[in-house]
Amino acid sequence: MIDIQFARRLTHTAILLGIGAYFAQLITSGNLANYVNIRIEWMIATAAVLLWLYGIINLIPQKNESCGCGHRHDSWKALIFIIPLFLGFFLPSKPLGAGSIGDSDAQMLMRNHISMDMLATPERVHNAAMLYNPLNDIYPEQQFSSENPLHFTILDWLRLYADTSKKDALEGQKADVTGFVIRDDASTDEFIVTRFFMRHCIFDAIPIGIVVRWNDTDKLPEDTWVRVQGIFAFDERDGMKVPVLQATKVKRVRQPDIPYLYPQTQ
Amino acid sequence: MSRIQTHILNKAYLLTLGLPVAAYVIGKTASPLNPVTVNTFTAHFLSIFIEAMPFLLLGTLVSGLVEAFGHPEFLARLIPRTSFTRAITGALLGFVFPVCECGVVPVVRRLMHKGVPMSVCISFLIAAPIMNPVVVWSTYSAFGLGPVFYGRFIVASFTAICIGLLASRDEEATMHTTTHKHTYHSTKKHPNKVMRALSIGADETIEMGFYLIIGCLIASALQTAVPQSTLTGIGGGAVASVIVMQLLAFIMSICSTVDAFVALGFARSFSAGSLIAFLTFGPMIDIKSTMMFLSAFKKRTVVALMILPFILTFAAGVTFNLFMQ
Repeated sequence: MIDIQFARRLTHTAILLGIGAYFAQLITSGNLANYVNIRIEWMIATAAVLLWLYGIINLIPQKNESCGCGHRHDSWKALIFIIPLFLGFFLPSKPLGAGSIGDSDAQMLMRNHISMDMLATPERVHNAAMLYNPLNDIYPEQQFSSENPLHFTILDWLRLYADTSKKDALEGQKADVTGFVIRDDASTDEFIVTRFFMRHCIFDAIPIGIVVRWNDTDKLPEDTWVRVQGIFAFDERDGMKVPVLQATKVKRVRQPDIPYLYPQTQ
Repeated sequence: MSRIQTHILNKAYLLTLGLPVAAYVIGKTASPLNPVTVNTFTAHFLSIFIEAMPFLLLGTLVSGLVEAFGHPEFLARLIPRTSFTRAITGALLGFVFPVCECGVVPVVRRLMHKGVPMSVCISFLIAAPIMNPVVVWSTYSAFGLGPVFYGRFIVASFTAICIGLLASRDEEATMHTTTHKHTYHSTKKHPNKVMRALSIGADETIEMGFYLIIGCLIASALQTAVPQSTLTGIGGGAVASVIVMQLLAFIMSICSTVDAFVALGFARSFSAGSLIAFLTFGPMIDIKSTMMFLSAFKKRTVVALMILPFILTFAAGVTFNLFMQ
């Protein structure tokens, strides 16, 4: 005869320990970087420890189980934790990718970003870059991830472009960036090398990218991670100058350990 | 109404909320089981769940500690006399307990149970997600010292104090009927107060986690299915922009520790008043917090807790746009 109170405590403990174990596994496997800004790793680690503490304390037998109120305890609410446990442990852990940017719903993620169907109109590139202008106003100018432009990320290049006094400096610059491919099915010589920019978690992530001219684009399936090396040139489109990366080399690479780009100043 | 009937009504309520959302999501995404959609949804859900849990755990820990260590007499000595000063205390309590929106509900439930006046509890509930050191720092980082920064904290305080004062006039109505909720008059006996605090925290994590997970599910479904451009496309006027930003804040359910940066992204196309509304309404009321309120308050109270901040932050946003260009 199973004591219902004990069964309930055991279920709750299993859940608390299970979620704690999931958080620990996210940290040890590195998959945490698929979901949140890695700087909050310490919070997730602390959460795991507290969850285990809760789980263990919950098992300790008590002197007086009954609260004497005559009502049944709600056990079914705990079952909802099956959802995060299942999604976390049993589905492969993947970050946001090309598929998260829909066709006509390229605007799905909040703000103006470079969308697949128009391969970066000047306005969109300009607006995506303009997103970072306020940052340039508040922070010291040199907030790039590196001194060396060859180590610049997509975010760094957009920052440079956003600084109106410097945007012409892009002309003729060599670049070496990594990102995943966003392309139009019909396009054979142009794609957008893209990363998601994230501050805290996926809910604030937006895609940013650079237009790449590459003749073998049809050999690159969408969502493939690539490393692109090339030189910037300005293209005239719809009466505006748009920076386009003329690729000299495009190589398939592994997804980076940290798939997202973080702001340097946070 | 019998307990069974209440039970069924609660579940029906959740279904009523869930079915339209599910229908919309399924309609929008041609095949909801498309692996790409599942991956996007899962990534969103896990992301918001993972980042919310530390704050929920902090809230349940504080709640457990208040229960185990807090004596009503001690608390009573700390609380000021008048409704107005109590409401102000509540609005500033977030600087003492920086628990953020996911952690504030377990703490407020506990404080209510300990007999802390409603004016303190409700103004704390409303203000806590904004009036805390982390949010001050992140808002300053994003906007510097300017109209948005000052506007955010002034409007938040004002809104919290007003609602706290309204709550004090209606003490009985706002209290949740406690007869069938056990988690906060647990009679678990532990000689060790720390163990008792942890034990209560464990119970509350399961209880509150239920509502948090539902909130995360709904928020993730909407993020996956709704193109925000349809909302931002409305953009524009002094009044429309405020409502749009409030709706966006509710749907996006972004944590207040970083929503200042998200608002920054809208700074070019949206009015300052609408940004202030986004930054005040969102942390107070979004899908996550609405679900969690249901664990502590009667439905009537939850509705009031949604409508009042909406009206006040709307008024603040529009006033700002019209008079302080």
